[in-house]
Amino acid sequence: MTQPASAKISVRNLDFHYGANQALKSVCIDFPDHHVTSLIGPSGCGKSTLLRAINRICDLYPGHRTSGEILLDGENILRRHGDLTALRAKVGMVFQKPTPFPASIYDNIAFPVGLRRRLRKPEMDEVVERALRRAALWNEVKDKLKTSGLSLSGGQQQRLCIARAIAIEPDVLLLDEPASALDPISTAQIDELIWELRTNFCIIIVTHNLQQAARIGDSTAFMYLGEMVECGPTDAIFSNPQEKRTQDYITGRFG
Amino acid sequence: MRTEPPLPEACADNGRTPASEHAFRLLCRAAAVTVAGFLLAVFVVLAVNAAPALAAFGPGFLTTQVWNPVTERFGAVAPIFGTLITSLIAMLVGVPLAVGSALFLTEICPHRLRTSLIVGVELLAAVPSIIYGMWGLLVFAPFLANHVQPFLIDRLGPLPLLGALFQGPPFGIGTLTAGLILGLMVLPFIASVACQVFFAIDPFLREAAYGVGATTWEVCRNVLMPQGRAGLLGASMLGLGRALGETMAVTFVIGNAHRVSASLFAPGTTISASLANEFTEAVGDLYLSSLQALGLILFVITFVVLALARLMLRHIEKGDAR
Repeated sequence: MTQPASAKISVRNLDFHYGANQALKSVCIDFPDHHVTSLIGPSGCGKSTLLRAINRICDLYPGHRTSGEILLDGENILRRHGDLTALRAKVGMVFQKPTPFPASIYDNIAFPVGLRRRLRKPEMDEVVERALRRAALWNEVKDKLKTSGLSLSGGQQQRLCIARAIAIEPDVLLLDEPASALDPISTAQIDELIWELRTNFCIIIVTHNLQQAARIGDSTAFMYLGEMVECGPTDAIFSNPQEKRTQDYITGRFG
Repeated sequence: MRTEPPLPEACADNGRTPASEHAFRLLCRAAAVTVAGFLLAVFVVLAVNAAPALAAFGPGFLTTQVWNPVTERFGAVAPIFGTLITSLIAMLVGVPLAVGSALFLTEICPHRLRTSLIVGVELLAAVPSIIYGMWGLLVFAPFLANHVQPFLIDRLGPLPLLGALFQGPPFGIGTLTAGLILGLMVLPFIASVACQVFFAIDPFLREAAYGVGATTWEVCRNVLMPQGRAGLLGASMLGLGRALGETMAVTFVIGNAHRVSASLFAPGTTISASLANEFTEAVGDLYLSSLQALGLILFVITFVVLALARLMLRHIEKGDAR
């Protein structure tokens, strides 16, 4: 169990509304660097919304409103106006369904990298290989980099998406139920991957799978109806929850 | 002794196919057969009626330009050329405008405006083609003749090769005008299907594309358009099918001259415009038969275009699965 380092991301009194619906109520939580934080809670509790506020993907939804602060390295990213591409390059995201772009395996990684850096072919080859190796996919795809990313299996597609997210060297990795559409073997591979990646990134993972949260999370945060109910070291949350609602959830009494 | 009530028909066999099910299948089959029957009938009637002309002129019908009702010499080159070139112009103008407006409506436009703008686009599709034709003849053609064509003739006309497209007097009406009007007419059809295509793309894919730090333009070019390319091709083919057969608006503005000219400003004709103009005044069996042969050719062109589109779609789908 690594000790929480300084907070990479601090969420302070975050309120989030979709139109008349309030999805997050005065949420406060710190996400330390080089650390995996699992967000758990029943569907609709605001976990995914919190994740989508951190890279401002929520801006794509109509009628959203935020108040409070999300400090990334001390800067309140909710106050950012105009260009969000730099923020999103710094905060990578992987979704619950694999989302390979309609392009070759190679271009799936080269496209986002090429957006920020002008690289010559040999350099780009190297970046693509390194990303695929770190995502534990290189050996399976090295002979078919030119084939479509859609030709891969679900688990491979998801690792391709992780490779794509880490290829642009973000500081933060947001994972929204990355294994929910995968079989147990692929899930185990993804878990192992996340475990290895935590040395380089601040990782936040939303999961419905409590075993997964217990396995890979350094910290775990339980959310319910838009509120942050309890967060702390994973062992403490699972063995000795302070809140009755947390205990009910992890023992399967609701949710 | 009690007798069991007879089992209803439906339960008699384990397949459970009541009479209504049989009737439903029969009706659906009848509907399909009717559609196919109409198609076949159109083809047969056209072929039978076109036969005298095709017999009289042979393959030369497809290669000669002359169209002379007085001497009863007919060749289809000018209308075929006109049909293809106006449709090509329509596609060159219509597809980029339609895809651009669909991207605006689905990706950029504020949500409050979106619905009303989409309704507006669909209303454009409901404008009768004769309105486009009259607008083309009375407003658009004079505008082109007075302001656009003289400029193009001055600037582009003297160029080698390309200049040939922009020479001659600025009549206003002609192949270019017809093509531009056609482009406007097919735009709403392509745009509204293209909107559906972009709406149907998985929102996660869109979020993922923005999530790697891409701008709206990069998301559209590298992710949404490649993802939707099969649908966009289908939308374009819908527009092309309409452009090939569009009659009224083209007849108004194309000038109706059975000539093949290099210049886009020269009057020309299309198959459907020839039919609309000449069918009622066609005297002589050979004249009528030649017009119907044009109809047959349009039928074949449309069929070939749609078949090619199917082939391309299948190719794209195979490419995705690979």
